[in-house]
Amino acid sequence: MSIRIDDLTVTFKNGVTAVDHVDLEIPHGIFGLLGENGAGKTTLMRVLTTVLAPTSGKVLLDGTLYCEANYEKIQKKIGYLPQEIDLYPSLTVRECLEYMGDLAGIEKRESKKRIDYYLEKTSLADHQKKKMRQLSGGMKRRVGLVQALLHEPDFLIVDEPTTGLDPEERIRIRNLLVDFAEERTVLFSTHVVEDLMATCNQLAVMKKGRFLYTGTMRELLNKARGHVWECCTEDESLARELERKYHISSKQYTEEGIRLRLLGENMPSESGCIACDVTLEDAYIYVTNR
Amino acid sequence: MKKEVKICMPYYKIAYSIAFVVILSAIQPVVYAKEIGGAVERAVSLLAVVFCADTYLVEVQSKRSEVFCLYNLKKQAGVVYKRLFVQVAYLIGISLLAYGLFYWQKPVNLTEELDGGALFGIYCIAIPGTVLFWSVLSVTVSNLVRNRWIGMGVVLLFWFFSISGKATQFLKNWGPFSYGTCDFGKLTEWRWLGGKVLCVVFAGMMLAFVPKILKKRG
Repeated sequence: MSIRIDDLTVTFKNGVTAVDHVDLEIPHGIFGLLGENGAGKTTLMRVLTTVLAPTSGKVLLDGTLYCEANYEKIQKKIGYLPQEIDLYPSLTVRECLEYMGDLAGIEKRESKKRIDYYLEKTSLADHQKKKMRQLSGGMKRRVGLVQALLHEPDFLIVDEPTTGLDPEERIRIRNLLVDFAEERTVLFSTHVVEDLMATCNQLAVMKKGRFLYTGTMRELLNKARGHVWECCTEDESLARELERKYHISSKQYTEEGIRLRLLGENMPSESGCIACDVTLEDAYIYVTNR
Repeated sequence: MKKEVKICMPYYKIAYSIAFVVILSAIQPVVYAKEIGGAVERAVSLLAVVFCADTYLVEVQSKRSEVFCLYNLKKQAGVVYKRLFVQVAYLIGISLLAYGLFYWQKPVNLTEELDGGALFGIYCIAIPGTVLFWSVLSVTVSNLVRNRWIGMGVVLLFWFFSISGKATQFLKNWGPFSYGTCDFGKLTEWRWLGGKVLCVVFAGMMLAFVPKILKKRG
């Protein structure tokens, strides 16, 4: 399953262009979509789910063109977990999944089998009799993920699934996505850099409706290599000067002084700056602020 | 169907609907038994407008609509029909309860010919048409404007017009409140039936448009 986006633009009625002439090819496996809030990630995902029609450009899902006539065929192949979703609070976990399975057109016996499988896989089997309103944020996200997978979609779209979750839940959701990506294409949108570092090899960085980078994680890191330095100083005015001159990806007060990670085109002339290893966060800051 | 009941009939809806008819029967005086039908009809239609406005929009409010719209259109419309069926059935039940509560005030029967049981029988024929019409109208308008409050507001404007003297004069026995505005001097009074038949026909037409509205505005 591959998805191809050609010269896609989405302009809203108020004149705001959320996605601006973008091209992208999403291959099999997990593909990360990274960008700040308001970058256009959710709009792009809404187009890919057929919820929103693009202003111009085209999208192809395994060669099938996104258009009114093909929407039903495409929708069957898509599983979607939106950024915020409040699944039927008065139903139990099992009832909720049975209900959504029925709406997805899955035969009852098959639906039961799949629900059992996914509840086990997402460690929700012990909570299946709990009402949706009684679940924690992480559990609700996991149920959301199961509902998106129930009809065995070829293309799974997840929009910021780890936002607001504790570290343990975030890791759990990430690992589940990796497992589920074995047999399908997963588009994983987030603004949490660590989530992508832990899950995918390919990603796109989005800002103001455009892609600043598309490719592998390694290439992105290479782009920033030689542009990241670390500096430790006790002089507060020097620290302020460095903050003004460079992009700072981290700042810490340590016993030795103020430790800064600097990003810039050229090596800082200030003494005590040393080149250091690049993290995805550094690379992201470098690419988005170049 | 059990799951639809759980989804579209939360406790707060049951509580406010029962409270509404209990308070109404307590504060609205009825002297004659033939006045009960009209009093309940107007109130229950109002309740139906508020009760059913979020039948589909509950999916939008809970941010489920983007997942919901990925399902087959027939399934989506089926959900709206099932929820409407559950709510209309409940509202008819509430209307019967309201009639009972009014009757408890021991109103006077005007003539020997107009006994309470027969009046209640006529009411049982008329009220499903009223409930169905106002429920479906509320769902249709709210879905069209994609906002339950604006939807309710628009339908309430029409409700106010319908109960006005001008509308009664203009529509005569063909309005949505043809039963309530009819003076039951005799049990042979059936002119209101035309209005109720029209209510059912219009409700049917609006129901037929549900899939189209969901496709365009869902």
